[in-house]
Amino acid sequence: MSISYRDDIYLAIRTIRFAKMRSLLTVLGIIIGIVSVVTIVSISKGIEKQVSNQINSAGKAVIQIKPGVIEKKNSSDILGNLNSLSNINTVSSLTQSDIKSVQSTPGVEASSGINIISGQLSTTNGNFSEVVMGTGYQFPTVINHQLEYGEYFDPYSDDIYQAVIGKNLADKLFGNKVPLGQSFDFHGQTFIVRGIFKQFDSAPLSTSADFNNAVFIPYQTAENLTNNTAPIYEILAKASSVNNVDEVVNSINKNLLKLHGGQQDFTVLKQSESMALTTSVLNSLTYLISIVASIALVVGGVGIMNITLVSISERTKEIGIRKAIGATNTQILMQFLIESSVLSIFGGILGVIVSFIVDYIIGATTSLSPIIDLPTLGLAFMISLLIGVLFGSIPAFKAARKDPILALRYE
Amino acid sequence: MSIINLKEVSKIYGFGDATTVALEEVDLSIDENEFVAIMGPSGSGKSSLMNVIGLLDRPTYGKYMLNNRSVDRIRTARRSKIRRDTIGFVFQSFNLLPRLNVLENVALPLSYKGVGLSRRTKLAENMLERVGMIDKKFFFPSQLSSGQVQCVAIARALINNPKIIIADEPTGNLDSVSSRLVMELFADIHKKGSTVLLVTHNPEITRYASRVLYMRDGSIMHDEDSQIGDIAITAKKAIHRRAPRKTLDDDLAGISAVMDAIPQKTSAKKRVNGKKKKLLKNKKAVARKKKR
Repeated sequence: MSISYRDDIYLAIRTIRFAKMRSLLTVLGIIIGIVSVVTIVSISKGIEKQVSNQINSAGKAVIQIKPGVIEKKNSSDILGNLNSLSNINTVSSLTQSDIKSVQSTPGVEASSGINIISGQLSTTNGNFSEVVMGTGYQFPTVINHQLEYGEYFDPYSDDIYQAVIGKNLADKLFGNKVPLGQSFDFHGQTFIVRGIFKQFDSAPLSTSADFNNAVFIPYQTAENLTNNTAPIYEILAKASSVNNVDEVVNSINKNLLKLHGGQQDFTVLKQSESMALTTSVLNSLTYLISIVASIALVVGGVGIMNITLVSISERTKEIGIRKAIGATNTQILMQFLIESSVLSIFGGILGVIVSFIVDYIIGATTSLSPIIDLPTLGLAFMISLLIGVLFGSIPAFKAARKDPILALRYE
Repeated sequence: MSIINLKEVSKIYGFGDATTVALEEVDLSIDENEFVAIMGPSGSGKSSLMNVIGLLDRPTYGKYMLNNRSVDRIRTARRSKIRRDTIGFVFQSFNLLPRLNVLENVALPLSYKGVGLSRRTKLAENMLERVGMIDKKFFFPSQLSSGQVQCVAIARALINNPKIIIADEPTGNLDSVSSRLVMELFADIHKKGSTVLLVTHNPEITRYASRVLYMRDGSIMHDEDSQIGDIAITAKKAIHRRAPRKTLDDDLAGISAVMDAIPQKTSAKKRVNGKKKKLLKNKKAVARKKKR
């Protein structure tokens, strides 16, 4: 860096210090813009990490078979466009025979179909509308999750009206009472709570259902309650080894295609693909909100441009003096460009500090865990610098092109 | 050896009827280590001449050789660099940067040259020592008297060891004691080998000059060599004559006595108008010939 540029940075910092209030008001737009962008990106990263934790806790050998088609980009595993309607079909393209087919696929260690039934749960504490899922007895093995209390369904038990519930729901349904052995009514039947799952790593915006707030009943019971009309939400399978996941995915795909008469109306996903799916949704959302947030940045940039123009007008004589003692047009241009950039970066720094406070409040009051990491800080710095350079360039050019004689005469 | 050489240099501002001739075909040659005082009423073209010589402005016509190199058509960046390395400016209104302290103001031209902080601080301190302002190095211009500020401005002008010092009425805003102090500094600079060009309204100042130029209406009316230590002859005549001021314009010009003492020359505007008329006549004649 040239010596005079270092001086310009020092001078710019001094200018900010000389006029603190004016500088603060000038960079208000930048602060708001940076807070918006950093908060959005940090929330997005937080969600991504939560989803990643959720997926990783289940293990990398888990395979999801979902009804409908989720588009894949060419032959790569990265998911492209998501057919968002595929997951909310009222009639699922998956059937009982698909579950059996997955179960019997070589390399599948455990599997479970999941269907979802709507209805109200009634306990002594009142009525609740919660997600009720019919699952196979291998469900905990597939998702690699243990129960905190009790045990999962016994496939050989005569009692078909048994249930396992998520931890958060247990508190909701039964309050302070010990939930094990408690009962609730659903679709005219009384279910006994046999177990409670350990806390799942839940993730906001995840494409998976929130298991912490779900009721799990035997798959067959769910079928019976709905006269075999409950749509299959998904089929989960666990490959015997992480190394043969691809092989198992191919086998499942091939078998199901045969069953569906060659119609690809389902999607077989590895864990990495599920992650990509969530990331893809998140990224789209982040980009969209960031564009809206960047309006504040543009407004901030205009503020900087305005104040730099005023500053140049006020300091016309200074420009004349500097030119008279030998400053070149480029040196004058750089002086004001650096000044606007330093002002903008100052706004960026304040914006990041405010973002930390906002993220702390979000983390404390919601289920989100925003993450401000180095790349996010780098992004904030780059945005601030870019705005300073972009919006400072017009006034700086104006300053550089001033006639030294007219500038010297300016009072 | 001539360091500044102007040949038929004119400076014209504006267009059409609003044309102002600031300099009219000025021929001037200044040798190295000359101390030239330039006198003349307001609007006589002194400052325009200084601006052209100081490379702050370009001549409209004519040739300007600085250090035997033509500089009248060079690019802006090159002009800035020559200005930085060869010329030091001292202004009537001092023109120090109010946000910088004395040391920073003096060191500023060095930063444009790319001199490192410690070196330029040392050089600036040496220069302040020379002008007797070292004990005020951390003061801001607003904390100094006019004379002190002008001394700092001179230190800034000298920091790059320029060959030419251009001072535009450096004592105009100073009291007599400060003026004397500042002029002694210029005399010292001149002794050390620099060429000094100094614009003044005060005939007394010509004591320090080895040559005095008298300007009026954009032209150099009179050019006389002067003995350092003595007031220039023409300026002396003006002082002794003490002619009563005749008109308000003369009064405003401030040095009507000096100008009364020098010979008259055709008005520059009249000459330009005459030239324009000639040009028009020629054009009309050409047009008539074509028609035929």
